[in-house]
Amino acid sequence: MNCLEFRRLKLTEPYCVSKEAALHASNCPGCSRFQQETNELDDSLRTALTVEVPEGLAAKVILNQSLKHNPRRPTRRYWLSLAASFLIAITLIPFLPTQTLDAEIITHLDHEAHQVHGKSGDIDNGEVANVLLAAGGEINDSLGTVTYASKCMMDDQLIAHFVVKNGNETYTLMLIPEEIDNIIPFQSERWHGLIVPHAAGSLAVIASRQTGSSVDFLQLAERYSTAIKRSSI
Amino acid sequence: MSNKVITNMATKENRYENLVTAYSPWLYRYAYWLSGEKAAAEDLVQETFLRAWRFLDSLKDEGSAKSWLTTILRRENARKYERKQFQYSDVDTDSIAMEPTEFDARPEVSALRIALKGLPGKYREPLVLQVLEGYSLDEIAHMFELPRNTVATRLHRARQKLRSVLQEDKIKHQEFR
Repeated sequence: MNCLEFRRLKLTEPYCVSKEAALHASNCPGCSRFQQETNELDDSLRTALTVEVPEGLAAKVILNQSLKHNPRRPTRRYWLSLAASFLIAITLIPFLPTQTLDAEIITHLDHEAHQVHGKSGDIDNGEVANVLLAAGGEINDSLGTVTYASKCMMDDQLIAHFVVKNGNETYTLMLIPEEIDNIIPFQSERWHGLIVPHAAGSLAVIASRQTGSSVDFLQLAERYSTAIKRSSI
Repeated sequence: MSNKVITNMATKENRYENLVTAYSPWLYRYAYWLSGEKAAAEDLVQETFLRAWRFLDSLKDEGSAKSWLTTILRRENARKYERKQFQYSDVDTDSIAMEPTEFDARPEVSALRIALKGLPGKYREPLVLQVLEGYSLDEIAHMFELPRNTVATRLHRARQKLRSVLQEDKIKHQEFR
């Protein structure tokens, strides 16, 4: 082992004890001093990195979890306030602008359509994986040719938005954190598509109305549901 | 609810509480050096454990719990950073100033903290894992899904930068004496 190798080892793995390194240090005063300095640096680093943990952090985490997953038994007052809220809600609902998931998707597509058309070229798998990760997904199987990949905000949720090619046709895929119970078909003037439940969220497959009405969305949804999996954490 | 379900829930809760008690201090320290803020670090720990509760059944080996939780925290931080980019696209998280801290305030330790703050995240993260928790190069490479040599280079550069900062600091102190 020469001086360069020894010093590289000490800066990379200072705790690595090898016979070769020990032998070199015992025969080289310069490297022996370097080793001592590196050990001192790491001791100081450990002190510098050790920040105080807030008191009662573990208890707060456990309490937070139990409140989220075991809500308090509802009291009479709770039911009364719930009933009042319900009355107010049904009175106001007709006057409030509400958007369902399919409407949000259509709004998002209309808003982003110019960007989709502005992008060209193939997106590599690394970028696809990166976008999926942000929305809690992973590549399980190839999505085919991806020509657009973007992390987007839709109703305060981070979604993965892709444009993929399947044969001669182009489809939009969206991996959405919102969970749904049933398949939702939808259409607007410009788009038609299907939202399907997908692990702890949903997956939307959308086509332009110009693609025609013969699109087998169920088959496409099945294909892309298999190609994308939800990350296990 | 059947007895079996109640027993399973009790087991899950015990398991969860053990994890929180054992690993929340480590996760908080790691989160602090990822985010640079006390409040953000605490939020990250809370979110990490909430996600851990949801996916606790997927943790088969208790021995890998720390790596599992650390990975969840890294992903939570990445998600948070993504959301933040949409909300405050002009904010560079690397430049967020550290909050004042009330721990060890010796000059060389303070200089190191400032130097650590100035290190790019890609250098600081593996260093925190190695120095604070003794993770090996291979373990860090596996966790970051990076080649071993890339992590080695980052650790090498991180220590080189810190050494040079400390040396400059020493020279400054000698000049003032």
